[in-house]
Amino acid sequence: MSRLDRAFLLLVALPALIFAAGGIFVAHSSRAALGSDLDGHMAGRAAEYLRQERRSMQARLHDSRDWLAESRGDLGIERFSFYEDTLRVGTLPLDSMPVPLRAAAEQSEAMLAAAQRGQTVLDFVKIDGRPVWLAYVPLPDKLAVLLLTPDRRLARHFHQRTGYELAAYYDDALVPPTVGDWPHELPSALHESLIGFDRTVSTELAGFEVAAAPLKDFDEWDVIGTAIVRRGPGAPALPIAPLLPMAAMIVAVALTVIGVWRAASGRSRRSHRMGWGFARALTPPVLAAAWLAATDAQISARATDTLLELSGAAVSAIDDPLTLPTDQLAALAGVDVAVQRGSSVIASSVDLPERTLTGLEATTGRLRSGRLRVAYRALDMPAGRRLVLLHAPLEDSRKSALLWLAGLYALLAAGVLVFASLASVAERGLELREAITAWSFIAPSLALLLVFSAAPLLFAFYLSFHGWNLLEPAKPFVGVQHYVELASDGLFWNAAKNTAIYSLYVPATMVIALAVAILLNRRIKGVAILRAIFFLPYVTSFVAISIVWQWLYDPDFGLLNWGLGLMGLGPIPWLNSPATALLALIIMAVWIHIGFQMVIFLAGLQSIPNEFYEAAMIDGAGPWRRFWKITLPLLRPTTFFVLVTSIIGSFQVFTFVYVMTEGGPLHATDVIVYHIYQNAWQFLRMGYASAMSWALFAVIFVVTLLQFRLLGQRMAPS
Amino acid sequence: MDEVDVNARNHESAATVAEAPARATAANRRRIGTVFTYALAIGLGATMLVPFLWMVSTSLMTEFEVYQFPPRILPAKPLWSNYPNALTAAPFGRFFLNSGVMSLFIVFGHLATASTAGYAFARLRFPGRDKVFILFLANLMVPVIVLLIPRFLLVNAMGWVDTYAGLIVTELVGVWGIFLMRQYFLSIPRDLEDAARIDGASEWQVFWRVALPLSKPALATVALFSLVETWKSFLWPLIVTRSMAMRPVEVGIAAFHGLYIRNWPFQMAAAVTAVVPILILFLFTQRYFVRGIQVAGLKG
Repeated sequence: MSRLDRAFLLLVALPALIFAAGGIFVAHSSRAALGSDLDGHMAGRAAEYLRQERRSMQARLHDSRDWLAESRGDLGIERFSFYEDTLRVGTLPLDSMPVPLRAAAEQSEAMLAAAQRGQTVLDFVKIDGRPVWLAYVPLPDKLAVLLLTPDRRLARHFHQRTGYELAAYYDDALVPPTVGDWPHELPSALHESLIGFDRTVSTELAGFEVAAAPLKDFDEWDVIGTAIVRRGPGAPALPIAPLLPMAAMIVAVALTVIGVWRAASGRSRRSHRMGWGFARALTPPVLAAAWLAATDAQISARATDTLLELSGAAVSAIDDPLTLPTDQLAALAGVDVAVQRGSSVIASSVDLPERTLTGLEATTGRLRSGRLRVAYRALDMPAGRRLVLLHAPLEDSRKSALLWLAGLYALLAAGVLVFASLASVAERGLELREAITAWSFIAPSLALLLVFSAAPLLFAFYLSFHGWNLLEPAKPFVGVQHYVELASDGLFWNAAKNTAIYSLYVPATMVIALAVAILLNRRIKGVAILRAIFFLPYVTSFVAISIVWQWLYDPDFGLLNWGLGLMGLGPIPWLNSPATALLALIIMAVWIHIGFQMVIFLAGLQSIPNEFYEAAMIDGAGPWRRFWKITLPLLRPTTFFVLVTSIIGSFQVFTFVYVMTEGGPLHATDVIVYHIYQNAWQFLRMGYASAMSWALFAVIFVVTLLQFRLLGQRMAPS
Repeated sequence: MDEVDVNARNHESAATVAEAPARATAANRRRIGTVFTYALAIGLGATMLVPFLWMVSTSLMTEFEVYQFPPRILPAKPLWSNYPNALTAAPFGRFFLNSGVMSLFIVFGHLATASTAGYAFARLRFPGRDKVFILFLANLMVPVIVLLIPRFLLVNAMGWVDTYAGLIVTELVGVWGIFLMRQYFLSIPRDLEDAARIDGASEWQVFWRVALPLSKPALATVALFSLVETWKSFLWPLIVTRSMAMRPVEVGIAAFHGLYIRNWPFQMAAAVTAVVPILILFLFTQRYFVRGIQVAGLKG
């Protein structure tokens, strides 16, 4: 194997393999993620189902108070046939109850509450380690205590409708599902992991893929247990794994490797060969990536349909769902709902633009309303009504897989380019050994820069055309809307203006820094210490400095106002007033940056040959004249460099604003980077924030280009 | 060392020049000038130090002493207990540990990438070298804020939010360090390397045994700068950490600042604690800082 072949294997085949592995990983993980998302969704539905069924049970018990009261003493189990699993019914007097039940009832605060307030209350207790529900139904002259174990029945019902096995877990008692077998420690482990979190989790535990959601009490206030679901055999099938694209990817990678290999070892002219080889190498992966992306969208679309199907099943698991208000229905379904009669919407859990749902023909599909795309599923209900479930289409949010592929693809392209470079080594009379070493030296840095700088830069551009909220699954394409909004966003322009004003610290600092540099460019004792002192603020913690200056600026007790007071000035409100806050930041910035600029000026001063000064002194030029005629002109490149780099730096100020003013008061210190940060992480408008950051990038880019051009001209003679 | 030498040469010649024409008045003027220079320099230096001294002084005051007008310059009796009290009010040990871990990995990453890539760009010849180098330099133009959101989404997708991996991985390469190392390698003579090659050393050996040992001062500069930059970095750690236990010092004291907003002695004690490690480092190594800034500043 020649050295070139080995280099080829290392630099092209390896990234290609990474690419293939990445594709397979993305395909697999996206399917796994969809599956566990659905499971998590169903866990939430199950919890909601249990909650609402108990709520309706409570209501029904309450409604049947008269009936209960009439059937004094004669409340056998068979009389409550609508709760099949109800084991035993007790009534007051408590003496007639079995001992454990009586004890449980007597200890119950819920009983007291029921007795006092005349409400029907359900309370969870354990008797002999068995979880049961006690219902307290206040009757005119006594309190009926009913012992119920409805969960098995509910679990069976849920399973019939949705295909998901359901288990409920309260504190340390498991209500086992009626179907399937569950290891006992599984629910308790899940329950432990859920404590304190108000969210659903999907996980694999002890070989089971399960999902769990917190089970709330009737008021949706306390978490009383955990609902756990597992996909049963009757559950709707998940979208299949994209085997075909995966195979296509592997073939494509093989073609890549072969194509480049043959291009490198063929007999035609080398440059010609490289061109063709490159094209041949890149085409198959491009096709494969496109295919994968398309399949991924397809799978996501099917997953959306499955989600809506499952939500519909969850709703139909309760009897007569349309008696519930729409917000409860929406909670039960886990998606938004609307109720239609004919073609008009009679109730909806979400504000829909008028006529959105008119002309809904199919039972499932997508509809568009303005910029909004919605997936829906319509269920026919009694009395000519229709329940429409609405959800953002998942396929709209699954573009990140494509971007991940794009990143990997860039790596592959880089590998191919490297190989092209290596293959042309001999042509240019260079050493192959050297070139291979060089590329292996650069490869880690290059790869990291591609993944964490180049790709994010492009991704930010992509983001700026999308509505991107971290918490919303839908990331709709919005075109140039963000840029249009930017142009008329007063707060953005305010931040831009503040940033520009803030950057005025740069020329101010330069004057002082140059003076200090000239002062310290002399042979005086302790000059090293002085330089260190000037430089100190720049290297220390900016957060600490911000805190110290906030204290210095304290309007009542700060050192600065006291000092001004001694001179008969002030007091100045500094950071507390919109008129002076930005000025306060500028003064602090001057203090911080003097040392940094001074060091550069010192280097510039020391590079001016002394002969110039000697000649000038012989001609009788005074110090001022020497400064204006020699120092300043010869320092021009340095001055220019300091000016441009510092201004670019000043555009990116953040820490001081974050710590000292949070952009206030009244947005007086709201600078661009802080504004972007707020939009991205506080208002969660990452797309819009990306548009702003690209605008800033464009400005900095132009400034830098100007720098190169001007600096190039100035440097040219020397 | 070289920087000090240059200074000395400059001053000497300046002195000779000054002695040229009329001796007596010149000597007189020089004496006045020297006194004036000293006075000015010391005055300015003292002004620069005021915030630091005020920080230390406040950190030793009682809460009562802080809110007095006119302000007290020094506490009546230094209240050292502010330090243990402030530092136990938030997990400062953990903050320092986090900063330490983060700095360790990033400094090492910068050293590894800067020395290898810098060497390749300076010394090794391969097709496309200049284009790739310009690509690297172009990175310096991109403001970090543009990369912030996509980097966060990337790190979030990898499940690295609120982990050391998330704090570290995006920062492993410093283009600035690569540039500095390249400039340094260009400035040292090739002879030794060529001799090693003639003796049959592999490219790797030339780099590892010959070039790298010669570049220790530049490596020290890179290490120092990346250490200080990492220690000072704020925005990225702020968004990529969520729990108190993962915060580095800078983000930690910013959070502390929010919690004890009116307790200035506490705040100042925390600030002093954050400043002191860098201060000590800086006092012993300022020569490398100065050199680093000048190399990167002037030849860029």
